Amino acid sequence: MNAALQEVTRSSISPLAVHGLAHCYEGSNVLAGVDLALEPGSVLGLIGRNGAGKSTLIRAMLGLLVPLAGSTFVFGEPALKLSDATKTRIAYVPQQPEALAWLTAQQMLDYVGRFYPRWDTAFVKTTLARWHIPPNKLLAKLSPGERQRVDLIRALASQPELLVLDEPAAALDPVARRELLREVALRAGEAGTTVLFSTHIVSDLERVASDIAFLHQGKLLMLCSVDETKERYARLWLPAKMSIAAPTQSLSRRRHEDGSLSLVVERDANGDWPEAATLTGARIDALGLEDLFVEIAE
Amino acid sequence: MNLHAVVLAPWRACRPAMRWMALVMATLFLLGAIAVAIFSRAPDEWLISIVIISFGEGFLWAFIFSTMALLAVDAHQMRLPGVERSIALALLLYGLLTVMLPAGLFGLYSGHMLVSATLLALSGLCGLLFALLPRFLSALMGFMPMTLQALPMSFHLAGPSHPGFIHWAIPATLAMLLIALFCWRRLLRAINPYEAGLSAPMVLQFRNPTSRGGCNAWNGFAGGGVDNARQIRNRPDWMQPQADLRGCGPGHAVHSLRIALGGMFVPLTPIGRLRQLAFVLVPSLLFIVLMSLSNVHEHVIRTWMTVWHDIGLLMLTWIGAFGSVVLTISLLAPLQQRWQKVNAELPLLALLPGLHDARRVKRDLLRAILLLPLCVQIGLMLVVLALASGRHLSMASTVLLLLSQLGNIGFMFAFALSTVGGRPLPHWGTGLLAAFGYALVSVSIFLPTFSNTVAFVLGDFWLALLAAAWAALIVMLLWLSLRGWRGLQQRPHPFLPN
Repeated sequence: MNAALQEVTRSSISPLAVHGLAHCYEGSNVLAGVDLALEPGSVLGLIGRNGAGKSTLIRAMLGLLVPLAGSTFVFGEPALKLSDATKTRIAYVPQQPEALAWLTAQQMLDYVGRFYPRWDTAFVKTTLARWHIPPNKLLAKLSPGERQRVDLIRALASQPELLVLDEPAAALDPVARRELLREVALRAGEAGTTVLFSTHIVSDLERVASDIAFLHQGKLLMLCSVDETKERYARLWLPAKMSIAAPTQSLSRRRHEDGSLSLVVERDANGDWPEAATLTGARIDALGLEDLFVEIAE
Repeated sequence: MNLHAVVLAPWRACRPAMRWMALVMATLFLLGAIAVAIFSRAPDEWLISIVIISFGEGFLWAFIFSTMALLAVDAHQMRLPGVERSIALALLLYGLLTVMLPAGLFGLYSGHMLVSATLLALSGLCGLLFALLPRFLSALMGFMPMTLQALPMSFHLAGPSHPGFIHWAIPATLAMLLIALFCWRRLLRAINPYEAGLSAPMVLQFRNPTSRGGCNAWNGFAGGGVDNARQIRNRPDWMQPQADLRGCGPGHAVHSLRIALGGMFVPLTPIGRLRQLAFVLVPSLLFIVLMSLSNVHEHVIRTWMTVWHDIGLLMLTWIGAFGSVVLTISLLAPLQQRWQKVNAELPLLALLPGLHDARRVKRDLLRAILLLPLCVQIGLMLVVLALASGRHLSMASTVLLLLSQLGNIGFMFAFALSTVGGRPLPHWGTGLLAAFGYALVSVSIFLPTFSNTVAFVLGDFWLALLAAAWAALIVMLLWLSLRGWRGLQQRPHPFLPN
């Protein structure tokens, strides 16, 4: 295979793909047959309620746990058996990182940096200063927000092709959050980095994500581009007397006290709403991302 | 306040893990005492029984009843009415129950009620002081049994079997009671009683569960230790270990893994190592310098020399033998902590390039975990054997000391392999095995250090029983090691949390 073909093959392989992923903790299902593949260069926001299985999905995707069933691939390699070459292309920041608490921020970054061939020392230096992180302070003694930022620097300095962030903004103040999102958008836009990040904060998704995946009770209910969501999904309200005509397929279904019904519905392959939407008295409401999330998750 | 609250106070204050461990230990000591009383041929079998029960008493007061201080602190901080009074009554109630009840029974059995009560009170207070004294002093309480055995010899104090015993033991008990009361009051009145520095009492360590499953879960060796990050946060900067990062990187996997494992695995800079050694060397040197500089009378020096001659070798044997236990626990506790956390070193190491394929990383990881501690353990074993030879111990005593050292090495291997191999025992299994192993190792250290001929204390039957117990422990540890080894071989990579 010549170099050009190799490059084409390499760029067409999904950076992160899972098929039929299932996992459970102490008898209760956390993931129930998840299928997901990231497009190279995409920024996928993974959203879901607490306990929906976001962190488990991320960890399984990266080979950080052995799932009960299903297969996971990172750049085409089984996630549980990654080669060193593939590892240099990945960076992952867990939720509330706690690694290497006995080292100072500078020591941790020096230590990790030795393992990455494309480590950006200048980026480390400038970002530590820009984010006001004392380099000689022990990681254990940093605040949760500072700790998270050090780990983000660690992830970004390795110049990854795949960046996986588990609730990266959870401990950050609004300014730091904005800076992080800017950095993520910059990496995705300029360097073509593929990004997967989980969050509760819908506005973060709207700001940087190109795609959105909604995980609910271990199942992937929705996977589409952020721009598409407003067009593709809506709330269908049916008065009580028409509730019998409600479509059987819907993302959520809620009956009100007066007997009326609210459903989150999706356009079909032809771009049409379900037939019930055309009935007299029925109403279709456009949903913002946050409303959509709340409607489905409630 | 009611009787129910008073009776339940210690059980509510204590973590179930610790409660079970201390109860198991206390029960083992009680059964041992009963067995000695029934089967022993020794002339003072009542005394051996009461001494064994005293150890159980010490455990109960150190790990169960002392935790009422935590409840009292919380109640004081939250201004809860009536709780402190319930706890005071509970202390009194359990004090009477654990001292007067067994002492009364022994009084009926042997006629030595006062001596029994004094010995039990002394050991209960030792346990309580272990929990209430500042941490740097609590460590010294571990030497108390040895000191109680050695000091009367050197200062010609009457032993428990002599009539003069109570003349010094009762005032000593009262003095210890006063110190315990002072410590209790100091803890309750502290502005920030939760500050867990070196001067904070040991009992505060009991409130720091590392289990992610909650504070009620027995969590193996990891549950016994304070979470590493918290430990570092509570330590002043000058006491922090200074990691030596030189030479780490993809070409030096073992060295790099040691840095990532933290705790006692981390290679230190020469200054960091010196600082670590200074904690042991400076007090010893200071003592020697002060002794040589002070203008003390010759007979005082001679007395001290006699004391050191009597207890020096004993103390060194003790340090060597229990140092091995401490080393094993301080290796296993952080290791189990690391393999429980999903957001710490495991994901970092799992995705760190340059550690090569799974087979090699498993091998390097085992070398990083076991090689250095194994060398230290072997060194300690040689020291203990040399000391045993210096004290002219019998063959049986030497074998027991050797077994205790080998047992620690076995524990180290078995639990390290089962942890990284993803096959840890269930929590109750770990607890039982640890308690059984600790009791066996303790007995195997106690007997030779307290007597030059084990056979004098134990008859053939008991020696055979001890040998059978050791054989059972060795089989269990081998099984656990093998199980861990197989688990490790089957794991796609070793950095998967348990």
